[in-house]
Amino acid sequence: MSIKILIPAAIVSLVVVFGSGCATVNSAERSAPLAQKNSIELTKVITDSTLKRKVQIVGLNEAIVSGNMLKVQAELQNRTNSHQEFFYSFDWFDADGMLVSSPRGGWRRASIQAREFKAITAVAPTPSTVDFRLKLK
Amino acid sequence: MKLQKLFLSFTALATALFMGGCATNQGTYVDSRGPDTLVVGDQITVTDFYIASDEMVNSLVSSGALERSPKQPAILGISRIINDTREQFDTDQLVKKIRVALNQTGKVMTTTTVGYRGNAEDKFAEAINAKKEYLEGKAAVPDATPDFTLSGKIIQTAKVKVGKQRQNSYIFQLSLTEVRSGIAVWEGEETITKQYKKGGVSW
Repeated sequence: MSIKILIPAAIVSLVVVFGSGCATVNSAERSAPLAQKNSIELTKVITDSTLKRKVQIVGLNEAIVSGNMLKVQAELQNRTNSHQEFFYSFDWFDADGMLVSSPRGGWRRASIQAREFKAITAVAPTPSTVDFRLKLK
Repeated sequence: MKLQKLFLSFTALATALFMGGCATNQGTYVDSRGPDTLVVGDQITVTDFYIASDEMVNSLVSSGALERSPKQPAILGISRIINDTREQFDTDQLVKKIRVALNQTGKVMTTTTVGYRGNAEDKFAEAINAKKEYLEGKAAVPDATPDFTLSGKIIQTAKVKVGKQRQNSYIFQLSLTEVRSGIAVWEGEETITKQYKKGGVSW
């Protein structure tokens, strides 16, 4: 009798636990996008494979805004069926590879819905900035 | 002998525990823009100002509004930034970050001798300028008249309560007005919403 009660209870629990994580985001977009992305080839240094499995950078593109300011956009994807929270930060570098300090930036907290694609953007702090590094935590 | 070993082990453990306790009581430095800063749900914090200023500068620079100024770099005057929240704080926590960031772009310089309602930020520089103007018959810094002014408001919405859950939102609104036309050539709004439980620390 007790097993008969336990099994349905376990099934219900599993459904509740997994079902709550099923509020995924469905996306739709043009099959041939009109926007021309200036994509950047990615070099990834992965140290946290757990985060990589959850939230992944799927694309990076750049543009020049306001005449001479580098703007970067990273497209992230939540590969899980549950809502995820993470931190991100951009480091900026000049032509000599020196870190450009700025009152802006630092670690930003962000969240992403299940299976959602999300873009994060940032504009370089100075016109002399030529490079960047995106960090996820 | 066995009792002696046990006593020594206990003493070592107790010492380790107490030493550890001493270290935490002394406090610790955290990166003010780092992930270890506390999120306080019912108060505006330095992190909120960092987020708002970052988004505002990204938006303003991306808009290209500053590029359209005939004078490069353009002169920016800081107008009135209203704190319309239920909290007391200095709005320079937002404005200064924006000023420094815009100055870094090389597209804007901020005047400190021309201010809202004639209140110069740097009274000394204003006085020197006035003295030179009196002695030489012309303004010492003729180009200090702002091409743009930055004005805005910080609003706090009504607190939302559902059970023990609380939600608090701060809305940062800024406008960049081109002085010669009187038109807001850029406007930005950033809303920061925080949830927390009554009596707890939010995340």
